[in-house]
Amino acid sequence: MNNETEVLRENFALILRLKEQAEALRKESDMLLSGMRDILSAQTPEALYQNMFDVFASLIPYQTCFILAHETPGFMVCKTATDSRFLDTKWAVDDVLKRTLLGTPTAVFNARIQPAWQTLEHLTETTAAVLYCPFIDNNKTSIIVFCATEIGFYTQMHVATAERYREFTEQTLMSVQAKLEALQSQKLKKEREQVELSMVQSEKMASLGLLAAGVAHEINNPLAFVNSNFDALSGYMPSLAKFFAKTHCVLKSELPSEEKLLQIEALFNEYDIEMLMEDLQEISEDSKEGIERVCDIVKSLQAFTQDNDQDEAAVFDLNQCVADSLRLLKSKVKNTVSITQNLQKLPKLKGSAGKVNQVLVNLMVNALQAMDSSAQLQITTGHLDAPEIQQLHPDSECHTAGVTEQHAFVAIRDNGCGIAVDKLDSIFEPFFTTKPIGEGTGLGLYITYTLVQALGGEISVTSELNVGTEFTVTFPIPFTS
Amino acid sequence: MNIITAFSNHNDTHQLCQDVIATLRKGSAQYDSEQFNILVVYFNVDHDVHLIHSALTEAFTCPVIMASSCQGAFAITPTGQHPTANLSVFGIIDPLGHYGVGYAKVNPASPDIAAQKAMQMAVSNSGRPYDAPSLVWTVMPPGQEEALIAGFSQIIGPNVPVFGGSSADNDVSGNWFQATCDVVAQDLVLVLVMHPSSALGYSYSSGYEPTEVNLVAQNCSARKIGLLNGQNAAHEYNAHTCGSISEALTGGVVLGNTTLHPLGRPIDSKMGITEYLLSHPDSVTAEGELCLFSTVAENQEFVLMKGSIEGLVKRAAVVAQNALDVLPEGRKPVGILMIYCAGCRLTIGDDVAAMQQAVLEQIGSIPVVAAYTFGEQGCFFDGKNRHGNLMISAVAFSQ
Repeated sequence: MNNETEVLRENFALILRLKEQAEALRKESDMLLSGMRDILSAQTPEALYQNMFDVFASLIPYQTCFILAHETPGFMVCKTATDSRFLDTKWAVDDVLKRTLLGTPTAVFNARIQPAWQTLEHLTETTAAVLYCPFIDNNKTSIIVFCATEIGFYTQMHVATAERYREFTEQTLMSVQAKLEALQSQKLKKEREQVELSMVQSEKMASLGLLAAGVAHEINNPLAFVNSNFDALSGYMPSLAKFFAKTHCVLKSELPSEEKLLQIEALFNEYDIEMLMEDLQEISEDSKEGIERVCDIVKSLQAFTQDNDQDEAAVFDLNQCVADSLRLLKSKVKNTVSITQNLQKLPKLKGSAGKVNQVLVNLMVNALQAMDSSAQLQITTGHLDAPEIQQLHPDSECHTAGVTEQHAFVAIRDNGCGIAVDKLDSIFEPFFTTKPIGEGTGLGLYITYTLVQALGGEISVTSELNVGTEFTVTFPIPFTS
Repeated sequence: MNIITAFSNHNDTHQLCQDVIATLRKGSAQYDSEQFNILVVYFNVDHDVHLIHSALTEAFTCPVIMASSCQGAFAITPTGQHPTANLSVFGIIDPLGHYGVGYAKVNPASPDIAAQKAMQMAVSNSGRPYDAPSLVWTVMPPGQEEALIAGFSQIIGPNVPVFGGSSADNDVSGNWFQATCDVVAQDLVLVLVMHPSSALGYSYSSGYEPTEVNLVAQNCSARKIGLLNGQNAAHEYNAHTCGSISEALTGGVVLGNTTLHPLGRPIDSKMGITEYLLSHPDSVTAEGELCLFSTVAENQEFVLMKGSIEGLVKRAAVVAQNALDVLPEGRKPVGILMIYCAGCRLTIGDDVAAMQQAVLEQIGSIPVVAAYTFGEQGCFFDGKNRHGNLMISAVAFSQ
């Protein structure tokens, strides 16, 4: 009976021991999982490593923990540590570190006798047992080092945990790497947006430079004849002044009224006041027209340069943008290009008019540069429904989701030299240009493409060599429209 | 990893050795690597230790750790078994593992120094001089085991499991031996540090039941107890054990009388199960002091334990199975190295064959070697290394 009791007790103890092992493994698994979540929630690399250390502290007790990474052949360097004294310390790769790098976690019972620590005696004051665990970081094997103050603290149980931990860290670090890349990607995205913004501004200024001569001409012409009118007006002023002075004398004289009227009429004829008034009327109207032309050009320039990217409520009138852009290009197209406009009434579209103007000016300038004699520029605006959009932009993502919204479009067609088929796929890439070196940045169409994307639109091109090219830009029409 | 066990019970020492050597060679030949990493040898001191030593060390170039075992040693091989073979050998073939042997002569005045030296030599010889071993197997001369264990921990820390037993002779006359390749002596502490390539499982247990009798030891000196519960230790013990030592209350050897009534030190584990580290009274002084096989601290609290021959017969199988059960899942056990208290072995007498049969039935044909020792070292669930008496331990090897 006693023997049976003892056997039962022994079996119970064994079951408890196995249960303890199982619970330890489960606890370890839970910690790894929660640790993974903590690590992946880190917003910065520093927080990420801190979270890693915190997780590991719950799995493998340590006084100090640090990471050794490859430095030069035969040496590693401490990159991250919970104790700043370890940072940047240089470690000779001895047999233990070598084996660890080959993938075997290793527990050292007394660091003070291990060769790698011989040049770091000041650190062994607080370190006795050490556990080395390899892990893959950025496709290179690094070592995470756990230190304890008690000799022989780390046993094969810790090595087994470290082995499981190694597998975990490799998986975690893959996730961490993805996380870091995501963080980096966000940073790069912001930088890219900044660069693109800068490029857009540069291109805008370049376009302004290109347009400047024409715009100046467009402003100069009305200013010239306004000036001429004012010269003429100045020439009329002495006659008018004498006429008014003599008329004033006649009116103040003692002459009878009938005599005064006859004298004033004589003066009216003498100074040809009727012709003068007709000229003044004409000068006034001409000058007003000239001033209005200057105002229109200035408005177009303002529309071109306005920057209301941050205004989410900003809207634009596509036809007005066409008009503004043509106005800015008027000097370039005058007399040499036949422009046909077929503009349908469109609702207001969401976005920055300045960006649209820049798109249109870029496309029109390209068209004008592609044409020689008998140039014909055809500008069309209108509506497209979903199937037409699908046909026009077959790769567009917005149609794969089954969106059936209406779109507005503007098509700019020229009868220029056309673009070779093998180059069509590249024309929206940055730094692609068919112009001679030094004459084109290769950024115009790339920026045009970027601006259209930013406006939520799409751009496509069809072209035939020596026949002509047509760019079609589409914009979604907001449902509220 | 592979384990080859061999035994012989031949009366002629030369033939004894040749039998074992032949078995070991035949066993190792079936593996790609025929080289043993280590041979753990237990023998009956009825045979000339030097002859055995020279035969084995000439036959094999690997390190050897040898100790005498009380009235032979237990062995199970794939082709047979013997509970008290005159020579039993546990050979480890583990090309990816690392093993190192160290030894030192134990000076009674400074046993910890000997333990440190032996441990330093072992770790140095292991090929892994800085790595924490998976396990330490030890052979000690009886007498100062606690101090020797403490000496080990001064080198490698207290957390590496230490298993093994104190070398034994056949009649407690002090004719025990320890040996390595380099030396044969009677006062050596031997250390084998193990860095096996695969997992180990281990178990350390007694086969005894606690009674309701609690005893507090006083007037203690090393391994002697002057008083139990304030009374003459021999008389008090005798009173609680139905006069088991009444013939020796004024002095005498009581080893055989006390085997089924050891003193147990409660060891609480974090799991809530109390384990007992046993101390075996071996003699009584003229003053009625009770002498044990392990050191006693002043005011040490004991629980009087009780055992039975049946329990001791069955116990080894349970301990062996426990060691196998704690191997990591999926590991195939390839051998078990055991320690069985010589006091228990002497108590069960001829039932030692039944004890072996129980092991065989429990674990199947896994190779086993067990030594019968005068003191057992091991660690309980709390992970602390201890020296006890009347204990059984097992270390399971796997691949």
